Amino acid sequence: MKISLLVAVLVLSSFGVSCIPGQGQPASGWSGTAFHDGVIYAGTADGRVVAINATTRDLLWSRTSAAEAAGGLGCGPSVVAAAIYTTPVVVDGFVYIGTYTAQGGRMHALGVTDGEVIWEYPRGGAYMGTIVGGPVISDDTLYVSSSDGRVHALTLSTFTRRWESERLADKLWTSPTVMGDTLYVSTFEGHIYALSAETGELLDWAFELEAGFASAPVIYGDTVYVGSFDNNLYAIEIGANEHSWKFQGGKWFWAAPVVYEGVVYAGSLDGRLYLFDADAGDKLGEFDAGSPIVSSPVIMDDLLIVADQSGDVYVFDLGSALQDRTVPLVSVQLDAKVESTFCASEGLAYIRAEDKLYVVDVEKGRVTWELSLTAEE
Amino acid sequence: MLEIWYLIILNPILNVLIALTHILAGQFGLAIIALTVIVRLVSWPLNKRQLKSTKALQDLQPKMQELQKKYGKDQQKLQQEMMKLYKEAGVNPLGCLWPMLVQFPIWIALYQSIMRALATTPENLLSLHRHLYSWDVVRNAIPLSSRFLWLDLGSPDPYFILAIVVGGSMWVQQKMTQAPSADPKQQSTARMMTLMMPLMFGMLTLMFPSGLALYWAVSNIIGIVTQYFATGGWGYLKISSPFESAAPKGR
Repeated sequence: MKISLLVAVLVLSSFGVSCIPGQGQPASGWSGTAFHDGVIYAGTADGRVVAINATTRDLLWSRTSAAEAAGGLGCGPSVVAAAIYTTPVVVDGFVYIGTYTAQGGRMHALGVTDGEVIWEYPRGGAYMGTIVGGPVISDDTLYVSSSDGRVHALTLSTFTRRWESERLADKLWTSPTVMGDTLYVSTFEGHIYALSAETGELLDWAFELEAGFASAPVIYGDTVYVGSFDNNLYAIEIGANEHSWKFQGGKWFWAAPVVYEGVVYAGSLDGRLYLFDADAGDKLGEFDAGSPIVSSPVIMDDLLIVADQSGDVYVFDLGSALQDRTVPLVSVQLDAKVESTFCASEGLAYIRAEDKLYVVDVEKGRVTWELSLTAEE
Repeated sequence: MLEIWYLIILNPILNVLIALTHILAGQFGLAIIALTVIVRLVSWPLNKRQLKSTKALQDLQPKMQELQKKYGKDQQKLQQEMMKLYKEAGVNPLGCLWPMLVQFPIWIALYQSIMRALATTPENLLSLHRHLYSWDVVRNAIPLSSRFLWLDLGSPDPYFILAIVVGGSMWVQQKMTQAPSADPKQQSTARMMTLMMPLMFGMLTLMFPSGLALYWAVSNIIGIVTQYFATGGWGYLKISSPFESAAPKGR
């Protein structure tokens, strides 16, 4: 009898112990920054979108667009707090943001001046699948992928749904890429689909891989560059059934690479930044940051800015000789993890690292100013 | 300490689970079932000892009942005589507890592995890379689909089917080994506990990811089968149902 009681207590306590953070890790979001007309827009870890005057450093407005925090028994995945993973997109007086809650996701259009919710999709309190990959806007249409495995296209002038693709995957967590009248989508199941941007219908070409794709597709010329869960970076010519080249890193290529003047710059979770010839795939060099590179590199005026997870930010001069591009011009240490997309403009990089916003002077290699993004009581 | 836990227990279980998923046509549920069979095979020496201990306790029942009749009014003397009987027979009454205790780290690791492998939030998916081996079968299996039959293995079963299977199979397994007692008070408490444990696990099944409950259900069913063959029958299950009073009989 005592044995049974002891077993019961042990079972309960053992699962109590197992509910430590990191097991059923709650969603907190990794929304990044956008800079537009002297204002920095960012999503925060507590589900708000904030607008900050880049000159005065004043908080212009703060809006909670994902207010639903779900409860649940145990510490399983039902415990999912409202979160923002998408980086704000600012176009024509609106700030577009996607949300992630236990009930599902929504696209929100906020007024750029006051953060007021102008419209939401879906309407009437309904939800679509949660949104992790950022939306992209082309002409009058916003394209966003969702955890329901579909791409949704919304007409911005009328705030209406334009089309919804067929279910392409179990869930879509990467952003689609628009090139001309075609939309390219990478899936965890290992597919790259081409869809008509006009109708959302699948086009003839699709690429299939045994492993899943970890990053969003990046298109340069007629080639798709995409990272995979098999630790490879792939270059796939659009229309081809075989990859043009691939390179195996030490871990996943989680962040989407950038391509600039014929060179692919790809950060890996193995902590290295790799440089490749975009056509031939020859490795041109590498830089060991020492910590996983989670966010995509950013290019500004011949400068390449790379941030690693431990908070080190490196700036490389792309105008220099090729061999020097793997030696950082300057570097700066932030005292928080960088996992978000960031932006740069006029010599400054705007980086959200955990609960802080850092403004980094990329030429001098120092933090110009920083601001806590934690909500004031 | 946490690093040792990852290195020795969590990471091996997690990677084996993911590799099995790739081998078993991407079905994470089948991988959990296969892992359960492997865990039961590996822990067979311990289980065998537990069954032996259970059988020995069952064989001592007539003598125990005699002692209870003789010293029923003197609990202290009864305890002394019982311990003496255990010693003479070379039986440790706690012998059946150790195999269960050994399984606790596996349960915790399995729970953590299921949560990590399914990567139900983007953060979980991102952090998964830190625990993966550089095996091709592991790399090609990520990320996993949580769908199996009607279940989302990362969430509790909404139809209560697993809760009934887990609770029911646990009741059967307990009932097979629960020797009836001559003392009505003890018998009543025993009966209550035989119901309490399955009920408690049934409740846990409603709270925890169904992947873990699948492990419990399969583990219980394997336990019933091995117990059936090791002890040569249904044990005390046939003697009484929870709704009728048990006559104290030996086997």
